[in-house]
Amino acid sequence: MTLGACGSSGGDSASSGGSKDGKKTDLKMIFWDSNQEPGLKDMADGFMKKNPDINVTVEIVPWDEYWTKLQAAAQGGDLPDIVVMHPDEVENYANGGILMDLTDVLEGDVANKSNFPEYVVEDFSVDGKFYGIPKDIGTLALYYNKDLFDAAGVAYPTSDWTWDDLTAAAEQLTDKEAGIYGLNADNNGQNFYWNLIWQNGGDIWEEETGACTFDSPETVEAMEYAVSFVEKGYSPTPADFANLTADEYFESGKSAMTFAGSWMLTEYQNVEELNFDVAELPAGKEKAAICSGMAFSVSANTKHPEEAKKLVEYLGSEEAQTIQAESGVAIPAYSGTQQPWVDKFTEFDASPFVKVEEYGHTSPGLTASTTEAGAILDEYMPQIFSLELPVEEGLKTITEKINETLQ
Amino acid sequence: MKKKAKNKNPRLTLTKRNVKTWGYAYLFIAPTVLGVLILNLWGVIQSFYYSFHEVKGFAAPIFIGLDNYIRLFADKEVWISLKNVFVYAIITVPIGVALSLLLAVLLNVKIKGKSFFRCIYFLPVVSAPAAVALVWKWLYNKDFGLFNQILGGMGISGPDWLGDPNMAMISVAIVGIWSMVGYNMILLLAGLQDVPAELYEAAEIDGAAPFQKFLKITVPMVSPTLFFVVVTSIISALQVFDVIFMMFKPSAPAFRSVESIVYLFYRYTFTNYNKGYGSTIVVVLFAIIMLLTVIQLKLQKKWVHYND
Repeated sequence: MTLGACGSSGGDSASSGGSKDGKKTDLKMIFWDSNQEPGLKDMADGFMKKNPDINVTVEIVPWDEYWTKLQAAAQGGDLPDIVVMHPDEVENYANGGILMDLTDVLEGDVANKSNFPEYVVEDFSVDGKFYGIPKDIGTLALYYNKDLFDAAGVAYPTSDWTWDDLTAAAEQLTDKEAGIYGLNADNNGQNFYWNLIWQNGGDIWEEETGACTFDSPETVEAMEYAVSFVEKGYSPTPADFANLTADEYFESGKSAMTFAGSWMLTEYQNVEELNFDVAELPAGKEKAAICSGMAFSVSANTKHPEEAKKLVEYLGSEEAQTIQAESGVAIPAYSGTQQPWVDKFTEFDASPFVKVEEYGHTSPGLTASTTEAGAILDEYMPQIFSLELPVEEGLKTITEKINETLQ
Repeated sequence: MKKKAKNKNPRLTLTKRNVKTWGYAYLFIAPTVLGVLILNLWGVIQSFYYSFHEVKGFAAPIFIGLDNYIRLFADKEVWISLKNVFVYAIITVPIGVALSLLLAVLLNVKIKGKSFFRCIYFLPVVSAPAAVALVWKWLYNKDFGLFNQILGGMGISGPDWLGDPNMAMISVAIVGIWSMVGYNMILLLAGLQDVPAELYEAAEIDGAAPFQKFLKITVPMVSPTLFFVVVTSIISALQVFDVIFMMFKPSAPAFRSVESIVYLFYRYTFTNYNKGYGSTIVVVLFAIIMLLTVIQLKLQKKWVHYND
């Protein structure tokens, strides 16, 4: 009897999508940031309260393994029902037919796309179809260690700082004897040099042709500025960063300033001895910082497409995004829900992260799988930051090599 | 008249009882055989297949003949990684095997607390490689690490274990040796315990010195185990990945001097989504390992002593 019932319910649940006999439908969601786990679970709880017949579990896999795992799972047809997508990766998965088209959800009432910044929605559209319900936006700002500023008698950074102010402060804060550096000038695009390139009016890709423009005069100038901190000894060298990461330098009070994302707030906050605050990134010729969104995507092969869609629609709702804001770990994408996030922090001012929206640039997609640009950068950038390769010459080589792979 | 030796082994005749016995035997080995077929052999076949195709992202494979192989032979990073793993193998295998043998011999005598020491030496084998690598990374830290603190206390300024390209491979090799010694030691210890005590007694009566006993009795008697240990150590040395992956990011200045061939495979396959080229890299590694193992199987006649 039971066996027969099982078989038949398995058979037609594919067409009706509904759950039978009070049996709960299980949905699995996967993400990379353990800092966000409680917030995400709260959002899932909010959904389960409204949909008692659906059970949502959240799995956290660290960033370094996340994409490996997702790739293997996608190929095995075993992708979790809901995955958190990154703008650099979505094209690959969408083109591979791995993700469900969510256009109708974004055109519905609950998670309508007009509620989200356009660039986040667009970041997850491929060939006119939308594959992601915006989750949060991650922006960059300047974190600074107040104790080190006080000790060196330097005024705290302000929103109208320029590159010259940054250099001057880095110089004053650097204390060779105590092993303290002014700024983390790390070989890291997202967390450092992309921002400087945009601030100098440069870019990495030519918008129309898609060619690499690492050798444009603006970009070269910005990179020279980036490397100058290593040159002058105001920043740890790449060899130093091989011993301690930029985050560890900042967290241990060995670096006074670092460019870091809004997603790092919770982690830095958990370091008890660290007394920090946040300012907007200094301006070059213009103000600029990375501002990129993450999104919830649904597996095209999910066994429960209707329930999964219902879940992402809820995750994109004002209610769920407010829960996310209150958890304090990510700036929600839904417009108007950012203030609860800023208010959550009382020990420091989190508003510089929200202001980036006015001058943000989305991720340049350098890790896009279709190009092998990443491998080329891995080869030459360490030499540039180690001062073994002159900036202009190195960038010229990088540009040539990347453009070769594009043809 | 010569009797024809066609007398079949009675265990191999097709009697009802034998068939039943075989059935049980196959049943018992089935889990392992299935595991090898599905997890290993299938992967090998697929890698071969992919190596002749362009497999990017999630797109369907496109046949491109030998293009991947042509690219591979011109790719200087492949040669650098191959050089790196050979350097790694040349450092770790002789030192690691010699140390394992030494420890096995020392722990084979009747001394107090030898189970304790056996445990200590075996501990690295049961520790998670990722955790091991992270702890070593801290030990190696040039400013706060234990090693440089100790060296500093002795008035020596310690090297930059992780940042200096000339030092990095040595740092990786030390971790490699440390993690391999325990496992090999247990295998050799088992081999040593099979050596009949009479041989040593007879040698003692003849007045053999301890070192002579080691060289003339111990080494030949454990040579089958030693052979196994050497072969597996070389194979795992050529496949080294996890320690390097945890200790060095591609942006590290020393990365080029430690990147292993499996790390390169990992980067192409999982970071760059180029599975075709990634597969080509592992197929070449597979061929190299097979070749080396065949050579060793041939050479074993010269030094391995089977006591049948």
